[in-house]
Amino acid sequence: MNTIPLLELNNVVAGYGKKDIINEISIRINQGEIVTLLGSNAVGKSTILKTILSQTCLKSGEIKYNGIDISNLATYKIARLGISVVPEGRGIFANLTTKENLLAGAYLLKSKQEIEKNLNRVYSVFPILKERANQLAESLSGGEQEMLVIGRSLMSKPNLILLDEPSSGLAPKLVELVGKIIKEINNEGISILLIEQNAKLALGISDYGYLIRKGEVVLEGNCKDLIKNEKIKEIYLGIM
Amino acid sequence: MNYFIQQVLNALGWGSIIALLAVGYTMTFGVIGLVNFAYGEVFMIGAFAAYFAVTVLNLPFWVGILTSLIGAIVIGLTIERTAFKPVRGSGMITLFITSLGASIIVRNLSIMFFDDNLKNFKVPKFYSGVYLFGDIIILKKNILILLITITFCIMLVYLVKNTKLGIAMRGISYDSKISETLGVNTERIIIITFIIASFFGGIAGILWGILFGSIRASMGAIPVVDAFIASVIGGVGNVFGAIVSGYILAIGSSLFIAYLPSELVGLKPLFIWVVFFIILIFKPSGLFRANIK
Repeated sequence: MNTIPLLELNNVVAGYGKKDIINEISIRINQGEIVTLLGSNAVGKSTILKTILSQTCLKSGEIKYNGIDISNLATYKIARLGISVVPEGRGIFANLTTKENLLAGAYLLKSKQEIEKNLNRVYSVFPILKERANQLAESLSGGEQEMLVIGRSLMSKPNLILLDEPSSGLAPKLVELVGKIIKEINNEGISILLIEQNAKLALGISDYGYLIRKGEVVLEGNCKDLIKNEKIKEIYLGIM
Repeated sequence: MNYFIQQVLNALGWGSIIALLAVGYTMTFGVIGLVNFAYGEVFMIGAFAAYFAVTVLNLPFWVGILTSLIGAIVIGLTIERTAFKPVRGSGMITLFITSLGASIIVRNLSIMFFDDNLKNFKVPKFYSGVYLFGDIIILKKNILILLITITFCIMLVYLVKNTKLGIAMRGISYDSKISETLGVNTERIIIITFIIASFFGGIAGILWGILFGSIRASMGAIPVVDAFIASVIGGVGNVFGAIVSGYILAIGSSLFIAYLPSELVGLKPLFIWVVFFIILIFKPSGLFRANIK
């Protein structure tokens, strides 16, 4: 490929303090793609995401966004480049109302009209959030909170969204809905890095996937091929 | 009944000072989890800056107000940069002890340079005088102090509730890491928070001068405990709660001694502590909803 990938991690080694959690990770996301990182608990998937956001200690390697090195940028500056996040375990602001949470997501936007427009767009994707607009976020159900966080990540008109286990702890029906919404967001041209344990969901909607184990990429490929892969079938999908 | 109303009215000036300082406490606590015991010194420096401008240099009163606010903000930010920033993230206890240390240093340096005698705080004439309603006396300065306080408090509540900056502040108070991922420069918001808190400290310093007509280097130690308790009772992190609790405490303690035999006047501080303990036992999160987790 001769185009510059949207996001590119080259041989990244990172961790917390002295301990390395991820080792020599290389990942590419092209504009308009959904890329998924698969793997079970505690293999370093979330650490990869936090490393992209400069929230871990980067030891070596480089992280490029649109060809520009972002590995030493502060988190808030990375956000300003158009990368938004749906953090693990519902990173809502419990002390703010639903609407205020969404407005917090639009912190970087200057124009009132644009904020209003994005707000209405989020409300049209998640009508329940409009109903709950003036309720404190902590009073929302788990599924509603997940929608709120996804909605908040859309408020800044991002170019790339990093999603950390959006399906965790949700009822099967909601998992399906979340998958559908991720696909819809992607159809609007927003690229997505999806971290998931639910391989069935992730492989179903993604273009390209990486299998992570013990902080390393052990397998990668187009999702169409990965679904057929024996190893993945056995471990992550059960018998299909 | 008139006696009761009179006592309430008398307490409004003092209540305003407590309310302003409680707001300052609650802001820094809400945003970085700091119980800032050096805040009393910000308030004291604010009062001294005005004193030097107006009483010593004989400048107009508005210049005094300006120097007071600037003085308070400069000392507030200096303490933040030198004392709190290096230990931020190492826990509330460390921050708390650091603030005590900063307070002792600033207070004692001030006592060293300015001694601790009462200094006459010159106030424009129109601040003195009274209104009479039947046999109820209202001090003009109490009304003025109340109006100034309410005005600034309404502005702050609006700012915290309805502006982008306010939402960012409350967001940081819940989780600064998530705020960063939304593009919020938390460092900048923390500095703005300290500027606002110091601004309120400066205002309180001037109002103290107007209310009592004199200031001293150790004055910072007196209202901060009341203000701290007011901020706890108001639900730390809750600006509106801090304001209301400030007035409740001041009016309450004024009524408390008003109905006690005169030889027990020394028990005034008892009221606040009793209220404090009752609140801590029955409703430890404060009377109002706390903004922080």
